[in-house]
Parts: sequence; structure tokens; C-alpha cells
Amino acid sequence: MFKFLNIKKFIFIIFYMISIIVLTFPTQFQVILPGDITSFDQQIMITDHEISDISSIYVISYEPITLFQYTVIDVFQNGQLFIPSPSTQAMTMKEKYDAAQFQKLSSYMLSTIVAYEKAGKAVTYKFEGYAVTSLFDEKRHIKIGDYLTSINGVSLNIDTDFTQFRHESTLYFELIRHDEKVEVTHERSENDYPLSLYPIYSIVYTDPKISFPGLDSFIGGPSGGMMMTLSIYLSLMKMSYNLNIVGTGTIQYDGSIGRIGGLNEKYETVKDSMDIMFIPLEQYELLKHINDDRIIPIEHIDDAILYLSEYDG
Amino acid sequence: MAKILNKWIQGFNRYLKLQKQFSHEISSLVMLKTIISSIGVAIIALLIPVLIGVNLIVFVSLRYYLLLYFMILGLIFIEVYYLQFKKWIVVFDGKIQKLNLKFMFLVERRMIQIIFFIIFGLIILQLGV
Repeated sequence: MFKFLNIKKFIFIIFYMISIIVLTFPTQFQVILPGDITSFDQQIMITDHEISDISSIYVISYEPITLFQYTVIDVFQNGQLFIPSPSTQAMTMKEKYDAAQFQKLSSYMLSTIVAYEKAGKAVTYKFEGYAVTSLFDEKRHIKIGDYLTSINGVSLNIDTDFTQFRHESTLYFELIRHDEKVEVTHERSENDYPLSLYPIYSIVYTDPKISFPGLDSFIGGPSGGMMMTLSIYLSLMKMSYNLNIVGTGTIQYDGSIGRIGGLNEKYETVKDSMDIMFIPLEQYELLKHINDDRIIPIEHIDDAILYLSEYDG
Repeated sequence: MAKILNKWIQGFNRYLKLQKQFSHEISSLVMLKTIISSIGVAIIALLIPVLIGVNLIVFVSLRYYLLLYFMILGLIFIEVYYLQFKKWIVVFDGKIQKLNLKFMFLVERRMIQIIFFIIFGLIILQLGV
């Protein structure tokens, strides 16, 4: 039956099969790799205002990687390899994508509110609830993209202290799912994953009018918040700098800057072209050893505005 | 210029004539078997290079090289497909040898490669990579 199979052909077939396995077999690793920058003039539009030419940095987060990808990344040391958390592993690709889009939505709205208020421009908005961006458990009674409006009868708002629910064994959620009110009861268990929530606002009115074409793009996540706030603020104030300003960090309702992932990879992405890179102060330790004085750690959006106003090269 | 154009038109007319004869001579079943065999061999030949390219897509800094790489792979795929087609058509129907398949396949191959090049280029321009 296998008469046609001489030793050369046999070795070739074995080599071929091994190559296919190495190139397709998924490992349990996730990787964060250097990406690129995104300019805000593609993401926001403000009537009669030019969008300030500053950029946010994105990285490529990908899982599961193949054996071949693992080997290439390991040999060239150009990415961060790690095993994703059980919560991340439980999510489907679609859920991960949706979660990143809700994080981006939250970030866009917060950036607009903070920037308009800081610039003294008119903005009215409404708190919609907290968007769920991770799973409690694999039963999925609470789904990615649900807007939580109350827990155990306590209405949620931007100041809600979630630690008050830490010891509750049963949680009664009121939430909005596809524009319908839904009630969900959840019995806490040791196997529950930590729930990740992002505040969602809807912008009712702004003057000047703002729109967000970037909400349709496939890039997701909250880490552009700080730079988007800065971009909107500078645009509203009609301020511009002849510099390549980049940065990364989330924005909070009070203007403070939050942590982000993949900071080293983000630095690798822009190190050859940037003039200034703003990063969250609490993560400065990660890049301190590089000794690059173009890296500016900031704690609040006001620090970035102040730094730029005093910048003399 | 006119001489060259004339040569091209004559060549194309010859191709059309051969194509007509070829379609007339060959049965649908032989055609189907040949296409399946040719595509099968071409896929097996190029599967590993394609998978290597797909694996490297995560490296954003390589994107321009990868686009070029995939374009070259596409052109090679067409080349391999026609080489195989020429081989298998004779296996499935020996009498087809009397036609000048070499010229017919050369014209067809180049036409498809040009169309592929244009479509691939348009897609890249559209994506703005």
C-alpha cells in the first residue's frame, strides 16, 4: 500500500506535518507587541475647530499565539508573553472585542466631559450606568455590554463605593440590556471572577458640537483617554504645538490619569519618532531605567497642560 | 508601436482560437478533475509559506513586507496552478496534447496574474495600509 513512500518522501511528509502543527497549534500564551500610533483627527470632529495633532499609542494584544509565534517572540524579545487570567480565558473573541469597544466608549465620553469642563465650554451629559467588560462566571447571567444601574437596591453613580458590596453573598442587579430593563440575581461563590466595570455617559449637548467617527474603528480599549482629553482640550482652546506629542493612560472623571497595559511595548512603538511621551505617574517605575527625558510622568490632566504651556524644548 | 500592437492583437486572436478549440475538446468532468488536482497541489505547495505569513501578521512593523510577501505568494500560486493544470490535463485526457497548450496557458496565466495584481493593489489602496 505504501510502496510509493520512499525514505525521502517519508521525511518530507513528517517535516510537512510538523511544520503545519508548529504554525497552527495554539499555545496558552497571550502576547503584547509594539503597535502604532493613532492620530485624533481621525477619531473626533469638533465643529469649526481643527483637531490638535497629537497621538495615542496602541499595542497589539493577541491570544492564543501559535508555537511558531511563541518562538519568534521569545527569540527576538520584542513582546510581552504571559498566560492570560482565568477571566480573560473564559471570554470568547467576540466578547473580548465588545469589551474593548465599551471601554473605548467610556473613555471617549469621559474625555469629552473632562476636556469641555476644563476648557469652560458647554457640555451636558447623562450617566447611563456601568458597562460590564468582563465575566462574573461562565454562566453569563451578566453579559459583556450590560449597563448596571443598581446593586442590592443601591442606585449606581460615578461616586459609588463598590467595596460596600464586597461581603454580600447575594447580589441583585438591575441592568439595561439592549435597551430593556433586566433584573439578575447572583449568588456569590469562590470561583467568581473579578468584575470589570466602566462608567458610561451619554453626551446630551455640547457647544461646539462634537462627533466621534473613531467609535466605528476596530481599535478598542481605554488607554487613549488621557491623550484624547488633551487633544480635545487643546483643540477647544485653539492651541497647537509643532511637536510630536504622544502618550498613553486612561482618564478618570476627576481628570486623574489611570494605569494602562503594555507600557514598554508602547515606548518601543514610538521611541524613534516622539518628542514628548506622557505616561501615568504610577507606572513611571516601568520606564525609569531607560533614562529618556522625553518621557513625562503625569498624575492629572492638568500636569500635561501645564507642562506643554511651559515647554521650551 | 503599431507593429507591436498588431503583434499583440494577433497573439490574442490566436489565444482566443486555441481557447475555443480547447473548450470544445475537453469534457466538463476532465476539466473539473484537473482544476481540483491543480488547486490541491498548489495549496499543498504553498500552505507552509502562507501560514508563516499569517503567523507574522501580529508584527505590525512587518506589514509592508508582508503585503509584498502575500502578493508574491499570490503570483506564485497562479504559476504553480498553471504548471499543475498543464500536467494533469494530459493525465486525464491524453489527446489534448495536440493543441498548443503552452501558448494558451502562458497568455491565460499572465492575464490572471495582472488581474490579481490590480485587485490586490486596489484592496491595499482601499485599506490605506
